[in-house]
Amino acid sequence: MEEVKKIRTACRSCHGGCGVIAHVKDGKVIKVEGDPDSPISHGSLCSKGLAILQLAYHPDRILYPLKRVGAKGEGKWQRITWDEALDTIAERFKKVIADYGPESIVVGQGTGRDYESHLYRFANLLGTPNVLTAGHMCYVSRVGSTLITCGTLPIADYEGGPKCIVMWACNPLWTNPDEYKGENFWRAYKKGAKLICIDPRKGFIAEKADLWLQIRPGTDAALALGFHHVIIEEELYDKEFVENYIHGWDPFKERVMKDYPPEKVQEITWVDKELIRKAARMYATIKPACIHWGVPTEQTINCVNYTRATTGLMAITGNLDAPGGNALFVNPPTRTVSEFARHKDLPPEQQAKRLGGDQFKLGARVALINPKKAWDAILTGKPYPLKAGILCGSNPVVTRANAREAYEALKKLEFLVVIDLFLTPTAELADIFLPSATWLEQNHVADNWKRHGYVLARVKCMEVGECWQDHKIFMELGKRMGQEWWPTVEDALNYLLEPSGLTWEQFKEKGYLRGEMVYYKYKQRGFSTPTKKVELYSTILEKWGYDPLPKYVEVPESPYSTPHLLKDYPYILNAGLRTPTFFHSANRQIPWLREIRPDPIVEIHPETAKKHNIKEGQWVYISSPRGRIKQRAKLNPNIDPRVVVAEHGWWYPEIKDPGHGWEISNVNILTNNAYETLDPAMGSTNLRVCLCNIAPCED
Amino acid sequence: MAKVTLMINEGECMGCHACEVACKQEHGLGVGPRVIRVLERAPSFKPLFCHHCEDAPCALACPEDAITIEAKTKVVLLNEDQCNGCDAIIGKSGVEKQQTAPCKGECPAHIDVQGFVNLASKGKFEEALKLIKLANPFPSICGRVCHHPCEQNCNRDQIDEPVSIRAIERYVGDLDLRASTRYIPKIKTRKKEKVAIIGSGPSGLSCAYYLALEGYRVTIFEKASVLGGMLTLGIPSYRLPKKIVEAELDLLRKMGVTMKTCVEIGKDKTIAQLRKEGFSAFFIAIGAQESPRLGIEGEELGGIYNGLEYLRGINTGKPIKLGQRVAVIGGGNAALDVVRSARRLGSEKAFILYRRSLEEMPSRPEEINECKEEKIPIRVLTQPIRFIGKNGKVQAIECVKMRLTEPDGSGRRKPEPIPDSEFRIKVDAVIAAIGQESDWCCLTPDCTCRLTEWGTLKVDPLTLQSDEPDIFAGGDAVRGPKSVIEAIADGREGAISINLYLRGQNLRIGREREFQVIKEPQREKYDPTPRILIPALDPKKRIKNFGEVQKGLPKKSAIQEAKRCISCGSCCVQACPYDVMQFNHERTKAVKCDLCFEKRNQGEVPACYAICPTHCIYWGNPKEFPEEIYSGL
Repeated sequence: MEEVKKIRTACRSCHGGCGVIAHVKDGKVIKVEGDPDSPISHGSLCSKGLAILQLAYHPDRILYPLKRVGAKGEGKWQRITWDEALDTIAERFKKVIADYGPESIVVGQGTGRDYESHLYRFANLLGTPNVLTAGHMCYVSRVGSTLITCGTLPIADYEGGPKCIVMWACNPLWTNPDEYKGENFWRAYKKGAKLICIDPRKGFIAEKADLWLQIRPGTDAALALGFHHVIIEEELYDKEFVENYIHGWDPFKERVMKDYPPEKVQEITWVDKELIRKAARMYATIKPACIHWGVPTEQTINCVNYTRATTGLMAITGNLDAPGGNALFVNPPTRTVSEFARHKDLPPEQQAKRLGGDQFKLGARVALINPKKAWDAILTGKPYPLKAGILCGSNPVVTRANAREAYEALKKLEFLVVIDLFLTPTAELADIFLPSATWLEQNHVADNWKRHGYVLARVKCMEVGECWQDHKIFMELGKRMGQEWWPTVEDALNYLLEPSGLTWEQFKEKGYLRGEMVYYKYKQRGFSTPTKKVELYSTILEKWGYDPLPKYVEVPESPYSTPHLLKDYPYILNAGLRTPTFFHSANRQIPWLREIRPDPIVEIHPETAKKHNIKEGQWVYISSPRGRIKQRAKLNPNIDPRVVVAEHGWWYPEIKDPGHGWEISNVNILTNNAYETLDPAMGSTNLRVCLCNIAPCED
Repeated sequence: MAKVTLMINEGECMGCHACEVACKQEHGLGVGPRVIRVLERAPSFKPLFCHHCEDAPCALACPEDAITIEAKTKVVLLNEDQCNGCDAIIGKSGVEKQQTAPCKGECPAHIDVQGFVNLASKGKFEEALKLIKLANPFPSICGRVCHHPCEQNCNRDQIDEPVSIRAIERYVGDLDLRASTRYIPKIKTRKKEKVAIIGSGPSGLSCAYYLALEGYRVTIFEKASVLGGMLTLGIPSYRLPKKIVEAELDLLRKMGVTMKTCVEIGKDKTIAQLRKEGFSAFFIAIGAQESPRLGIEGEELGGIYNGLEYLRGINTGKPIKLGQRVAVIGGGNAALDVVRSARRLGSEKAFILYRRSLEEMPSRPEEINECKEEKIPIRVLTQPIRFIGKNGKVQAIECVKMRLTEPDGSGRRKPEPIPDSEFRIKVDAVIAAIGQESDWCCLTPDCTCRLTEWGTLKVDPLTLQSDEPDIFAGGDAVRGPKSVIEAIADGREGAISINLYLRGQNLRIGREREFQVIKEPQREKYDPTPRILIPALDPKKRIKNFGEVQKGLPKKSAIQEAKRCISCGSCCVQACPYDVMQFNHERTKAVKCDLCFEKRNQGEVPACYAICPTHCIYWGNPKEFPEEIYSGL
């Protein structure tokens, strides 16, 4: 009988990063709690992280590799060994490479889970350019857009003491996914900061805010440009910065002044023009000020437009790389994801074959493809067929736009490998299932893909069944494909840590590393762009044939762009309402969490509900031109009566047939992934906004 | 002695539920019992958590003494080994259902009836009183005049007869009235806000009591010259002696409530003026004291009065002289109050005229019974159609006999006149006691308050807030003529709403209370025992005066009757005023917050307190909490 050991590690129930102390006894983790010494979370932890034991020890977790027996999607599986599984996959992949070329293999993941380095290395050494992630419309899309604008991703510097915070389409108190956690924001806010909240829905932050801009979903780029108009017109910008560090000021100014006066922006965004002026002035005049942006601003046809325009706001107000503004943090002394992934080793002729690479050049620049390109390649064989795929931690049947198309494609794909913890609706379409390890069961240098300057030690506390951490899966499969890897996971970590002079064992003891921050780097060496300035006018976009200046393009399916649809679909569907307990399609089977949020919720304004005779708590149908689902109505007077807000990620693990109810409440049955709706440079999908109608369920 | 408790700054709770899950993990709880629960109604969140109350009602209510208050820290702890899960509940009733005894569920004020009855059965009358007063300030009043829906739904009735709950409540209340010092709960630190209550009936008085406890400066404005509303001016003293009402008014004065009579809001002062005088909120409790007209020919003749004015006359010492033959038209409690009062004042041939059958008379069966004992005739299925007068005074009523039709779709039988059955009754006076209405002169044109089509004030049924944010209302003024206990319940809800309003907090979240009422208690282990008979004055003697008809129970009888209660609901769950007591159905035991007692013995902090990202949870000595932290009604 052992004493209880306490192990310091880092959570990954979302993208992760919060410090955790795991209590281990006799090889079992018996409790987790926040780590007060974590520089990122200071002892706090959310409900998802706290419930990890119910995930790790869940009876439905798959503990061994499985092989499909029976038809695809029939739900019949047979246990096999890791050797058989990996040998089968390697053999199959080798055959596809011989017959079609490595580009006919798609490698994919879902939301960032800290194995990008290993997944990309596997794909690059395999020779396939077709890596399907969420990056075309989440985080990496922001990275790409800021890369060409100011060299790297600006992060809200809460530690630096902002006096004004703009919370734009984000609720970090519930969602915590990226560099900044809710706790950081709250701390900075309580120290005394003005708060501007931009959100179609009044949540906790909007209630606290000094200014709440109830924006029409999807129109953020217009608002950003409207802010520019006010700041330029009232000459509130930092003249020295603009003169010395902005490229393309004159053409940018010309467009903004002509096309985005507050009156016009009011019409587009539904935000009152005086409020637009007030907010712009507040942001521009209080120093320092930071903008904390959320993923809805990327999941739109205006992803690149918005991100570049907003980076522009940070720049022209002198808040870029300033303490308390939006900082360009210094990387820690480790190898980057890019280095580890050996992007340079993907041959140019293979890069050229990237699906949609020519069409979405900025997406190609950050090494990703738009999912519909993969679905089309599978379903139509054009421009060439995809013959095999390996998906890690991804459930496209539930989380990707136009879910039915994703389902058809993955069902048709001749050979599919899925790496996951449970048999999700996507996993049920696989030929081989590989059981993954949770964050309690892995050693990794965590957060190395983020840009806050930290890396954290994620330390293995326990083992379950034959589950392997994802890094090991890619490594062992890669070795069977003849790729260059290391004997163990920890050896690879030593490689990653080499520049710091620490081994994995030493790093574990230390707990974390941080790059030493220097502000105002641009004063010494400019920005990492071709002109060394912040390119409001992007020379790279120009070279590629895109509009070099940001603008606002109307949401592809909206009351203004498709008014003929209003008769049947009179409301704007704002999809993807977040919850405090779930992360995308994860956690529906975690008892403590499902108890708090048992059903999918759609929020409807009481007046709108009345028109349709819909009562609180009633099941309602939500329909769009793509299909129909049902969710439970919650009446909320704090949304616009013309907007309906629905949750995403819903499937029903308790439904035992292999479909697991993926079609019942899945909001992506309603969303659209058509090419003409995508961001032209990045290929970002309009995941959050389309038109819909509502009706009470009869049963 | 240090007291340790939890307090949550609701305004900074952002609804992440981390505290809930941290607590579950810390205490190894499965799905079901949620010791901390966070209610969501974005943008507001309300955490429900154990307050470790002083004089914890859960501890008082437990028949096994399984809940105790720890001496040094005053933490309220449950001893699981001693908890027997209130073994009156049969079977497992599902994960979320925590079953409530029907007495608490059906009581409009949701008094923990099972709790106080159990305490009474053990002779713990002071504790019983404290429990009652959490929901109802006036047990001596309700113990006499309440229409007792608790008794109507009492599960003891499945064995023999319901427990005589009202009589027990009266006993407990009267004990306090006779005590040398009345019980007053601790009053919070005086607040600066002033609240005006318009109307001194049961609703207004109840609101005043709870606001006074919160520390507010309360002034009641009453238009009549006497206080008490219907308690004084309506209900005759043979049912509710005036000195009982007087004693409760005295209690309120002791608590610092100011009362002003002969001030009619709307005439002598307006609400706008009161606002200028610094009143921050208003509770309109004007009741329904006007009588509607009968609407038949001859109504304007002399000798025809309405019931309320007649009762008011008696209760203010200026009774109207009626003569011998008095027809009282109506079938409700007011009509019976009128006819029995007239009988006592010498109208020996007073009688009731009612247009439906006896079964349909809305007054309480026991009132009808007492009426019969006093040999007062009740003429049913008789409808007056016109009054016949001479020299401007009423001489006779022309009536028609009624019959009941076949039941309609809803099962009700309508009365219809039998053709050619008209006849006349000679009368000296007529009193119409057919209903009540409100007088809305307190609402001036600049007010945005609205009336419903029935002449009652339109308010949000959950919060009692009118269209004007600082005006709240309750009792008959909102519900139409209803019962005393409903008025009292409204008074308390109004006080809760006013408190939240004045603190700028969300009025709605956490206010909806749902009770899963247990309908199938264990019966086998109980032998039938008859319900106690309540002693009353001899009918032949009592019709000569207004002495109190029903006598109270002696102590032995009160205890004996209280022992008949089978405690069908889980006791601590009933008792908790914050609805946070949990019941673990898997283990059939109660489960509650223990302030992480074990962790603290190791020098650590409670799990919820440690994990909260906004630090909205405070733990420690409440005296050291910042002012803004609120934990009240």
